[in-house]
Amino acid sequence: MVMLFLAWRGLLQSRLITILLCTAVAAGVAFQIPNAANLRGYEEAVITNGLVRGNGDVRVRPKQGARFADADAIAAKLLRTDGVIAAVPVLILAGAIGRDGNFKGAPVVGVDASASRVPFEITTGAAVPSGDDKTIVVGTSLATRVGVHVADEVQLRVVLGSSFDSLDPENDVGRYTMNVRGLSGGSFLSPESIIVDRSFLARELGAPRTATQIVVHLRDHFAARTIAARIERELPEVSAVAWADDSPFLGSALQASAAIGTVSRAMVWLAVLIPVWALLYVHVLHRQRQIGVLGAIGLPARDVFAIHLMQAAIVGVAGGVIGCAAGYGIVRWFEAHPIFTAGAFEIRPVVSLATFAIPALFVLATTLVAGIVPAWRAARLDPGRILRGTV
Amino acid sequence: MTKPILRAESVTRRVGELGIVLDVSLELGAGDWVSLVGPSGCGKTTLLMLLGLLDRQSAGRIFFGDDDTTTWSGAARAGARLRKIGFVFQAGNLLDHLTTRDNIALPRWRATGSRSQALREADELIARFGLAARAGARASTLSAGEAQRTAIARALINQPLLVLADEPTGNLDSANTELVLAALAEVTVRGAALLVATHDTHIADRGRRVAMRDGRLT
Repeated sequence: MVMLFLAWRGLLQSRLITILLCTAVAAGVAFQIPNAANLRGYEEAVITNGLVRGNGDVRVRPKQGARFADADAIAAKLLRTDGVIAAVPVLILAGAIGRDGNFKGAPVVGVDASASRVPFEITTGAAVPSGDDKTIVVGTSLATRVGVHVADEVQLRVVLGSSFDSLDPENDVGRYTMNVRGLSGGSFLSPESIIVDRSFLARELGAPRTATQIVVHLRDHFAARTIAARIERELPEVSAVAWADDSPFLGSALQASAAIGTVSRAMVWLAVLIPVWALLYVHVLHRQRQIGVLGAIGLPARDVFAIHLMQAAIVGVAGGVIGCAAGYGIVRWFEAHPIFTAGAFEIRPVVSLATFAIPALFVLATTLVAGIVPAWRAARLDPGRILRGTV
Repeated sequence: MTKPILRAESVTRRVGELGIVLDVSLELGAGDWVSLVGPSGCGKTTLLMLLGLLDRQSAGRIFFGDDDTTTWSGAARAGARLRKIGFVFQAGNLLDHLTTRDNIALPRWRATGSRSQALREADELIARFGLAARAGARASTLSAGEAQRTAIARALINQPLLVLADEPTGNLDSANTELVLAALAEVTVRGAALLVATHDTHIADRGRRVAMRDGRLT
């Protein structure tokens, strides 16, 4: 306690240096908290748009042929796999949408409206109900290019032929007049897609249970490779590919985010370490005579070291608390003003205990590291030489 | 004669080729008042630093009781300074950011680990040295006389065997000098040995006088 008392009183004596120290630490924490929260928000947005509202964690496709004959049966088997929370058959065909003869090519995605997860998010209007063969949902970007809105009538073309080598334009292309029921975004693909009811599309193909792939959603996104391998072992007729192998863009986006986080931490580390080290060193130099008195009255070098390291710790804790408060305010601002918004893809800071605790503990550790050299310098001061004025 | 508290045997301190203290031998026993006199620069302060374990001799030995301090570690020397030696400097050398009370209590708090006990004992010394009105004042606001009496009280709080005082009245007027002399007398009354380096004849005339010149006792 005596050392804590001396550490505290020593900091109070050098108020300007203490304020500067706390400011440096608080600035580091206040910068790192929203930075970490926004990076987590970005990663979450990437995962949500790429996996949760996209193509899932594991993509299961037939090893032979272009489509599963009975995708519902395979989906039911997949759902029994440990770690799987949803298995959604999806039927994707080539197609186009247009008005007044102006057609734009786009994938036509058939999804069951009743599925627990769908690879899109309705931004305007409503989804296509099960069994509906008169309405569609159009991706937001595609709708803009074609110039269609909710409730507009559009022409839909779907390539129903199974062989692109011998397509018959008259018999292999389905022609439909549909109404736009909604607009979709929320994943990397859906803004450019046409969403229809899967049963309608399957019926047109003459195979009511067919699907081109089954989108598997997992409890843990990062268990995808393990579970994909397990699926291939248990169902030899399917090919199961984890998202990281099927969508390298997503993996590299998350790796880039992690790299940015590491660079950011390194910058904060240096931005806190150098000024705190310098200020604590100046603090020691200013207090040499006081340190000499402590030595002269019998405090050993280890006490002097501990007092100065405690000063670093006090500054780290006080600056951390102030930085957390400031960081919270900045995070709230970013919640109200997201750093990036494009349709349903929006980066909002993700806040949790770790968002605050990790930067605060990281900067506290940095402050302690910065305090080691000044504390060591203080402990090495010779009280005799100081008090005789030869230092 | 009782066993000496401190015994210096042929103690020498050199800085490079320059001899600051040369072949000094000295014994101090319980209740001794020894005044070390000599011209400025003769090595008085260096000798006090050596005997107070704030400096290391180049040659010779210093004993505390039967213990040869030559081989003591830095921590052991600090421990002896805390528990066995009291130091009074010319400038007081108080901790400016602490109150009078905390300055006096600090060595006791460090030695016993009990702040309440240390403050209780500090209060007794504050009363004895007439500092009650200034007990809560920052050390930086004390007058020279108050600061010196505070330094003596701090030196005494751990009931040391030896008190070393370097020109304790050097900055004081006559009224404060009397107060400090009374405080120093308290040291020997309590059974500690007192070694005072001084130019002040009021102090030098008390107790045993030891003269120093050019680093040697004469």
